[in-house]
Amino acid sequence: MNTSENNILIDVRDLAVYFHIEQGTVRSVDGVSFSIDRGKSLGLVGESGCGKTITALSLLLLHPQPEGKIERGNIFFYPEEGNRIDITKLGINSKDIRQRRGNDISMIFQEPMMSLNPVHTIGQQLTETIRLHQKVDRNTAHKIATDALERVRISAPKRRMKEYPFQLSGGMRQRVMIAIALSCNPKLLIADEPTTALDVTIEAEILNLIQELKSELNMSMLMITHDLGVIGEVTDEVAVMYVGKVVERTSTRKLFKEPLHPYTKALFKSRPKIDSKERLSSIEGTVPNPYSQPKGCSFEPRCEVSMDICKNKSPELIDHGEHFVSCWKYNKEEI
Amino acid sequence: MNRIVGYNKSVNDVDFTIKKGETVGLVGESGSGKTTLGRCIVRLYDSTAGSIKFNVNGKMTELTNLSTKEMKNIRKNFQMLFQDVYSSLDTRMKISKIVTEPLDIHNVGTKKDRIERAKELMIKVGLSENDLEKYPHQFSGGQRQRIGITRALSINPEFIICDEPVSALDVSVQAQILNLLVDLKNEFNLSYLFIAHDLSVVKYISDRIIVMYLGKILEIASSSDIYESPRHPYTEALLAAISKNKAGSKRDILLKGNIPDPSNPPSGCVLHPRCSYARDICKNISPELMPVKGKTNAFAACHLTNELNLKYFN
Repeated sequence: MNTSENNILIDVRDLAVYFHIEQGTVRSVDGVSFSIDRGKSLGLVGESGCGKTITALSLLLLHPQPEGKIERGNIFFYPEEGNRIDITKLGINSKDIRQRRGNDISMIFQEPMMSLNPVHTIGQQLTETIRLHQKVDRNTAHKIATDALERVRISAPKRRMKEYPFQLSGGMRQRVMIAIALSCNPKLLIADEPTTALDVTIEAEILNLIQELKSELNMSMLMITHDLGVIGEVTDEVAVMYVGKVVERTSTRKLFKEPLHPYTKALFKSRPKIDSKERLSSIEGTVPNPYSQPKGCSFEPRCEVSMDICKNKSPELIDHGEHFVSCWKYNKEEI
Repeated sequence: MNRIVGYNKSVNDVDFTIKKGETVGLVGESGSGKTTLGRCIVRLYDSTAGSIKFNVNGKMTELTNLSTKEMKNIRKNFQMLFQDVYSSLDTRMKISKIVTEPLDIHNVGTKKDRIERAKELMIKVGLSENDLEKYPHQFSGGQRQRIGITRALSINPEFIICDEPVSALDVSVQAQILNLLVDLKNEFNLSYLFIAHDLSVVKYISDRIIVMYLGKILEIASSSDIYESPRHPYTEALLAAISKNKAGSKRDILLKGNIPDPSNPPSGCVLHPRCSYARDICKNISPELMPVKGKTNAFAACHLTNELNLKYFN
């Protein structure tokens, strides 16, 4: 991506996370590269089981351990210009990484009910995060927490501070999660399917809120979703993932104008459109079994335009004018 | 059971019926009473008042006052599909047991017949005969919903209540399941009540759509009318909340705040505290579900429906 070096916040290069379990090795993330500039957002899109969440978790060294291991690659994080940290080199419980978690890099999850502790009030959960990362007394933390709730447009924040998660609706809970995530002014917000469990009306509100806060705080964002509609609304760039690999990467605008990879095209076509009643074109089959992945292109068994070479050789991610795609259809000269 | 206050009244007023071979979509936010309505129909919940009639062999039968035994007999005709494909299949049962259970309960055919039926249906829904020997944990979300569909079809029902069957699935898998449901409907001449919160999904599969909010029906119309000319502000808001599927787009939020507590619904029109068009009359008088002028089989419950020029936002 053609931006100046010092504007980059996080730069992931050839990241691979493998799981070594009884049944064999699962290559959940297998050579993923992307970077996010300060104040920009990247979308990570793909079906369940593509490795989106593992990629995100590994940025904070929170991937399941010890079975999951970062096999290779670097995660360069630039908390300030000129200061480069390779997250993969930090110990999983080291002070260095704990300083980053929640402070520089925050995360919100799909299921706000599971992520909030049911026996503590909203206020307790917010102040806990704040006091963990900032050296402030109880009263100041309480003040920061109330402001954080106000920032995510929760009405009567003082009263909400005393309430428990079950007293809030799904949309409210997700707002609380966002408030917690933003309470320490992170430089990067990782949002893992933040609206999948919500009603469409609430989804629209939460997405708009995230957008507003992102520009208010000049924060970068990694948005993980299986829904291209969400990608279109909140991201500047997109990486499409399929079975542990990025198969297409470009600006959101370009991707929506002309998706190149057959997988991306198929994802676009499988969404019901409100203005047409045409039969949906679904992607036949499912994501391949993680223990026995195809030899060639991993999408080949489900691809409508597959060729002989696709069965035998895995394509590389190649640049077609700031539009990276890994598909044999587009690098014919190499065949 | 006092959950859907006023629902039955709406039903009396408009003859809310589902015809054979028809798909009726039921749409609204969480807490609108969609699931409760669906479950009242099959009497998983008992309704407080009102009537639910079902055509059994050409005879309209009132369901609300049937005994448990009579009801069991009639339940053969309905099945349900659920949203949560993880909790709706018993993890300790083999697939063969899960999908033949309805046949066991209603004592249909011999054991051999039941397995034959299961095999035939498994292939029809895109699974294989061998899958009958497996357990639910061996399947993905989409495959589990296919198993749910096999179970629902096993007893050869006429009517299936689909309660958000695709909202927990990936977009690509959603398309597979929606297509499958359409194919099965055509093949077996099924009727569906399709419950969802996403109008784009409901519109794709439904012939007619019922829009519900806080236990009340606010609009009923054909799915093309709902999209082309919504007659209720709530429908308009649901349409605006659908993703525009474009880079750099933003959705319009037309409703203020959250859905109110259903045990203490607002006076007048249930939507008025959130409706941007609300006037004094809306605060005091609850609008009736009335036929829409110039349309057949279209109904809206809004005082202002003839004045407002609601439009589709996308």
